[in-house]
Formats: sequence, structure tokens, C-alpha cells
Amino acid sequence: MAVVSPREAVELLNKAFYTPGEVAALASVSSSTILNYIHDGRLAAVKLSERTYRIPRKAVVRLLGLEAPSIVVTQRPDAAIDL
Amino acid sequence: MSSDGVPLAEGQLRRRRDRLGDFLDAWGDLTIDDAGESAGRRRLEFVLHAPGHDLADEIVVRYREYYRRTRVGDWLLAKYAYEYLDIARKRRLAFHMHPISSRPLMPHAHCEDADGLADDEGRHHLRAVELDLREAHETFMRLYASEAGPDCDSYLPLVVNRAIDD
Repeated sequence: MAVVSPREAVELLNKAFYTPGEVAALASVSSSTILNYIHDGRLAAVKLSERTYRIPRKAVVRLLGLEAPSIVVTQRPDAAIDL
Repeated sequence: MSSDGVPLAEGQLRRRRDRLGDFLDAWGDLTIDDAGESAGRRRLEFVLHAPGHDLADEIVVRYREYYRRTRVGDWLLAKYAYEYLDIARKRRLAFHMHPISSRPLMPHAHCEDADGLADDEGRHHLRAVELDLREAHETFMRLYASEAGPDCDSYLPLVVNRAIDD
């Protein structure tokens, strides 16, 4: 079986959203584990209906440990802000 | 957070910024701009491009919260502008709260055709309730995930000067 690098794995995730079942398969866990992550707030997801969730691509990338959080914060304390 | 005027201490506002940053980073490529702290008029801006990474932008979301420093050094929410741009459909949905006419802080929405994120007010003010950033984000992400543009016809016009005591 070919070895896939983390970068290649990230590039294979080319959809904006994934179902809990798809994420479970990617993470080799059960769908109920993924739903528990969502309910615990450990995994970002949007609820479309009572039993339908969609998980954003970046959350999947983070769950799989393929990419660390990379938030760019700019602090400009002296900037003039118009209220 | 509320327009009722509950100020946030410096540490509370910084924690809000950092927690929202961590929350929003799960949804795409995020940048945060924290401006004006020394001047007493502060703006927290979160800009999110999704789906992110090397994929073409499908949506852009921008959240701006403006704070005024109180006499005791806390931060009071002065207004907000939460914006959602659906690039493919060229549609914009926004939730704002700021003064309109004689009303001090008026939550409202904008929903219209747009080529880009707007910095100004739209053509029409629409009725909306006051929202926290996370509530606006949930609304925007539900739209995005359902592959539907905003239903602008579902928003009623805002009547600013209607008497509220009758």
C-alpha cells in the first residue's frame, strides 16, 4: 500500500464538508464516536436537521492531526478606529 | 454579550478573542486583527476564507466587533457587523447592530446581490434580532453547508421610526 504524506492527505480532502460517516472512516473510529465528539464540542459541525450534521474540511484536517492550528493574529494597539 | 451594556474586562475581551479564534479556525483559513486598544476604541475583526488551504474560496465571512473603553477601563460593545459572502452566488447576508436614525443600537440585517464584502450599509435595512457572533456564524455555516444562498425574501423590512410604546 502506498504511503501518503500528511500534505498529500490534506490535498485528498477536497470537499468543503464531510458527513460523520465519512469522517469516521477517515479516522478509523465509529460514527457514534464522531457524534460524541460533535456533542462534546471537540469537533466543529453544523446541524442541518435533527439527525444531519456536516463537518467542515478544516476540522477534519485538525482531527486527523494533519495540520496544527495556524491562526494569524495581528495586534495594532495604536490604530485609529472609527465608531 | 449584550447591548444592555455589560462591559468586559481586558482579560475577558482577550479571552473572547482567543476562544473565538480557536472556534473559527476549524472552519477555514482565519486571520484576526485586534486594533485600537491604546486609543480606547477597539475593533476585533475575524476574516474567514472557506474551505481554506489551497482550495478556491467558496465563501468569505467577516466578523467585526467594536468596543469603547469605559471610565474604569473595561470594554463595552459599541456595534457589530457580521458579514457572509457567497462567492458563487454573489449574495451577501449581513447582521449589523449600530445606531440608525434616533435609535441608539438597532440590530438589523442586509440581504442582497453583492460582488464582494461590503464596508457600507446595504440598500435596505431588514428586521433581525440581536445576535452573538457564534449565533451569526451558525446561521452562515448552515447556509454554506446546505449549498443554498440566503433567502432574502424571508426577511421583513425594518421600520425604524415605528413607535415602540404603543
